[in-house]
Amino acid sequence: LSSPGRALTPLSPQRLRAAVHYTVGRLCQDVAEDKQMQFSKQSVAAIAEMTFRQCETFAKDLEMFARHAKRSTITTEDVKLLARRSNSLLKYITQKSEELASSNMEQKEKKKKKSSVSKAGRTSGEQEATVSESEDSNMA
Amino acid sequence: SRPPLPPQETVERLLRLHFRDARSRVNGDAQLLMAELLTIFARGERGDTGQPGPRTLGLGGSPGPYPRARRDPTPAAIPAGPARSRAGLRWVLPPQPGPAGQALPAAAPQQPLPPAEAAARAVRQAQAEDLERVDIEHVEKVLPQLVRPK
Repeated sequence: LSSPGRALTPLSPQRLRAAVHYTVGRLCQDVAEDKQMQFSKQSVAAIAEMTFRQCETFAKDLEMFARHAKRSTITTEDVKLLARRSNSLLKYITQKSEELASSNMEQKEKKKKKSSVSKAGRTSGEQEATVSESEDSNMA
Repeated sequence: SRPPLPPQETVERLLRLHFRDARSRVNGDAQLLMAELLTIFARGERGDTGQPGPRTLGLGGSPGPYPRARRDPTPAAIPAGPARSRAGLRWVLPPQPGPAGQALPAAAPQQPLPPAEAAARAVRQAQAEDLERVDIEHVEKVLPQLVRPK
């Protein structure tokens, strides 16, 4: 997982545009198959351009939401705000966000248990061995 | 099934391209969530258009546009059934196709238009003109605010 402060190798805007174009092309292909129609290359390019611009709007909105909360790092709360325009999208995103939060909680619970075991386990050699194995796997 | 999510790093790079402040970042969970949002947004009303082969269900036949996560055992919070899904689930109401040559009403400007929805509207416009191929003018007719790509 990327951490907020890690430096990313920059991808050129052209490559990112191409990635969006590719995805939109696949979507248009699905619509074309469904409706038994064809899309000209320019029509796909036009929809891809529109989509790329919408990503810009999303990015700027997210940045504004974070800034409004006096943060420079965008969080899931900002993403949920972005999803608010559509009821079902908001429900879906909120559900996903809750799943993420609960799996994060599980991770924290596991770490707490290990650290409390290690504190109590100085008298028990077995427990210490178990703890150090788990810590090793965490560091992998 | 749900289409594959874009890689998190691509999502972050795409967003960072447009940030005004060079210090703005996206944390890991937000990257994951944005990957989900973009994937679902892109397909719009159409939901699981990634299904291979002919679909036995028509548009709106699937339970709401947004798919359930397969691994999630709890019932999805998404209302089921096309009738109930109509009201709250559209990003924008799809306009009816006009006679040949007439532009369809524009999307409400404050609502983002999913690309699959834009494609579907362009198809309806081309079909209204008795054509089998969607050309750029059909896209422009359904999206008057769109400027031709350079």
